[in-house]
Amino acid sequence: MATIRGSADNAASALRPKPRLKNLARRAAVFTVGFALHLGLFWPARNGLGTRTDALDSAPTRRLVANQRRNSKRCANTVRPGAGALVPVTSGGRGSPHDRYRLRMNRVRFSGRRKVCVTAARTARHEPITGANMIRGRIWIGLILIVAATGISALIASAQEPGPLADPKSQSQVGFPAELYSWVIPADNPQTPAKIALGKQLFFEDGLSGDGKVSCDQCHGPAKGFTDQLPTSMGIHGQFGQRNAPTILNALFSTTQFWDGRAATLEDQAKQPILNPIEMGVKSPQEAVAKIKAIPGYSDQFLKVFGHDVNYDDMARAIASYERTQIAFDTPFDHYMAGDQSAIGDDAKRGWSIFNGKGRCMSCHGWNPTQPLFSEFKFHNIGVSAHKSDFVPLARKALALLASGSTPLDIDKLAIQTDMSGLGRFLVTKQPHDIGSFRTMGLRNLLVTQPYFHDGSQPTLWDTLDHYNKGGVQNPYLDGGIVPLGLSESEEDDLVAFLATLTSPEYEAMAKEEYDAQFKRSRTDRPQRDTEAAMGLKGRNGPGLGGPFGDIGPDQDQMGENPALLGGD
Amino acid sequence: MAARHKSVETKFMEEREEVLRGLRGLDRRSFLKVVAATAGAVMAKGLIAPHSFQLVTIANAAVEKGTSTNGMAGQPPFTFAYISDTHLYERTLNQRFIRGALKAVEDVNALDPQPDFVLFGGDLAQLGTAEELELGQQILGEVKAPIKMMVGEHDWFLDMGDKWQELFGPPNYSFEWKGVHVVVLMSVHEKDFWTARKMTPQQRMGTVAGLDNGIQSRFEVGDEEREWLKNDLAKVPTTTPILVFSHSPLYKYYRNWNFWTDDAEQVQAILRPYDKVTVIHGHTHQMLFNQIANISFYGMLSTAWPWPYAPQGLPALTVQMNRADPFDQFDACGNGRMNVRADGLVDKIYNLWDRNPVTVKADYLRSRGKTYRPPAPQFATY
Repeated sequence: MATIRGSADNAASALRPKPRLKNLARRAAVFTVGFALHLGLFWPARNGLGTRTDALDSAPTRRLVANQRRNSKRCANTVRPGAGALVPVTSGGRGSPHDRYRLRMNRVRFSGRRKVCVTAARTARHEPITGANMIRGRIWIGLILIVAATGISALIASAQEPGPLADPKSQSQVGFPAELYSWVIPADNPQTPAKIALGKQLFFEDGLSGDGKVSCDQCHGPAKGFTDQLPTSMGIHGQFGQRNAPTILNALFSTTQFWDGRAATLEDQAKQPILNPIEMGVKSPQEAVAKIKAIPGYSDQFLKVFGHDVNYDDMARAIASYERTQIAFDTPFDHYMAGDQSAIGDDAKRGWSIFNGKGRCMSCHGWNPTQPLFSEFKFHNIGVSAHKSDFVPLARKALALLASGSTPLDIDKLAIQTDMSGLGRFLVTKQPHDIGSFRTMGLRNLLVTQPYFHDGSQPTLWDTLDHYNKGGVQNPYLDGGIVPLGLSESEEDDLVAFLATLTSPEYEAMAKEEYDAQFKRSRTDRPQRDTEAAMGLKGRNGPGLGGPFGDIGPDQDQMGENPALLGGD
Repeated sequence: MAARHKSVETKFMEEREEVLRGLRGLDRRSFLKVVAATAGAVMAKGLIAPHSFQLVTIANAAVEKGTSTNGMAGQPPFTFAYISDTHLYERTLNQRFIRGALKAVEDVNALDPQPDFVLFGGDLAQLGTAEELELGQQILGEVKAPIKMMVGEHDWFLDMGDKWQELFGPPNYSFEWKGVHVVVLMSVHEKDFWTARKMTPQQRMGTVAGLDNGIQSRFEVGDEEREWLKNDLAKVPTTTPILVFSHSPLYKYYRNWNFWTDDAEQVQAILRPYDKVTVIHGHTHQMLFNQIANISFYGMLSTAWPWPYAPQGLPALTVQMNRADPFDQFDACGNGRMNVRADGLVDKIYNLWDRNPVTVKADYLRSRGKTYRPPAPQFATY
């Protein structure tokens, strides 16, 4: 990714631990555990940690990805954040009977694993030793290796997990909107170091879930740009919801939370996943409070921070405070806008021009120095859920259900657990013009928050651009701004080059890896590309309404001097 | 034409039909339960149910009970929808107006229950060409309810209405509907400004299609058609509610843009003897309503673009809509519905596509703004 350079190569970022190194260490640790389990205890769970997930759309692959990330989480969180002490894998609830159960369940659920099972069984048959001795021997070897692995991974983890990526971010980032920041911190929940520390601890607290295994970071993992990089997220007992996890990065600036804006603030937002039956699965706020009180240390901390014992609102306040420390600027683009002409490449500059012109991206993903967030936080139907939602019957169904109750939690359940999820903002407003509408998301760090859209339906940025280029997917509620764009291949490449410059330094290496993978894939696999539709040669079906249609934007090179090449500032 | 395969929309419609069939199969008790629940939600929000997913006739019928004592009590209330001012170009030149027209068709087809008929408010074409009018006919052909056509100046002045009349019949006519006398006028006649200037038909059409030119004359219903109107109404008792459809507003709003009917006063005089007269007009592409003596006026929204409000002449009763979002071609455009009440008065629902719908009640106009002031349209989702 030639376009990311400049700020990222500075000394500060060189001092940071390289994500790649950390990844390797984690891979090694997980591999050892997996190997131990293979030898001694069970048939193995394949730990393809760090494997790039390509065919995200098939259900078995989703499960594989889920298993991988669950395994990675097992290793990644061996230290309770903020506690500063080593907690061995085996005593933190991990490697417990529950974990064994989960591994077994994984084996059953993912048929692909059967091959491994067969191999293991075959290997066992070829071994000369048989019977109880063998099993006992394997158990011992396994246990020894597990202890070793635990030590290794705990050592690594103690230095790096949740690691610097989870730390509150410095505000001295180029492009940081200080004034806007001062507006978005609520008066009734000011930022204090103790509250932030408590919030961080809660954010990574597995005990805050129905089964004691799911914390916020399961779906908003710092190592994955505060997402889970899954199409849709997985909560307790391996259950998948209907929505893609939005990133926490810069979420503090958003005027509403969730894809459909059903929460007004981060505080309101934090309360819902905890109580959703398939996300964190806690039955009631009271139960959540009881769970936290039961974990030693929290009561004292709440007393110190809030002046009283644990309550649900304050839990949400603390978590929101921590989330408000996750700001992500300082990207090559921010440096470019601050006047460094060499911060981004020519391809990215062309992309920025298309972004503002022919691509019409700026209309929703707006950037300006006061609000450099690449979103106007409104709601639009761009046709994403039109692929699979029959809007009119669904809307009727939702209205009937919401008539009997439409508390935030009722809406939350429809959004996360049912096919009415595709109705988007309509569930909140019940206005037909909001059917299939979802909030405009910011564009920073897109290369670590893949896949894209509210249902994670597009795995690459090229697919995403192809979707827009062909004018979205036609449906009766398609937004008025979504029209065929007539973008050429090279214009899309330039746009992606521009989007790649929106990567914060801490994610640079990861983003480059993802860019390379997406680039490679985009050369051969473009399921969303529909050149005819993009060029206005194909249109709505209906009597006599086949294309060609007019109204395609002018070629970028017809515009004379490219304004983006004149530079920022 | 290539073999037609089912579009996403077509599939939606089929699914919708399926649901409707299912709904009809419901027993009366559970059906009423659903109705009551949705109506309850609407009441709780303080809105009349102004959109398609609520069972509007039934919800409104409950509201109407108290008001149906005066006038033509006993007549069934009914609903009709409209699509207006589509301004279609040939499709190789312009896609956005086609999209707008199709969206409106989908909207009225999604109404539940279906309207008794759909009024097309004029200006189907942009420059009156046969291609444009035929495209319009194809698009409107998808409307499930019966269509009542009205002509606009953009349809007329290329060939002085030849093609339009060939496709849709005579431009002025009247009919009875559930106790209401409905009159469709051709209100966009102009005095001959073209012969003396030796204009080609294209030049004539282009002049009429423009704003702010001093060349064209003002719209008028004209002597001949006013005579026709008098004769048409001669047999209608003065207690009968009258609905008039005209493309231009039948009053004088802003002369420079031809938001104007030159013989408006004479037409209004013909309608004066009747208790309940409602004029539904196109042409102005904006939320616009007015009350002059016994006549309530409602302007229709366009599917193509919204006009700004004129610098003067705006009726005081009009609640203005905000400036449109220029990025969003649908903003401040839309279509709408009229609920004709049992007493013959008409409530109008402005279905603004990207904003919350606005209901303007006849009582608001008849009370000269003292009651039922409609809320200003809002971007609900900002």
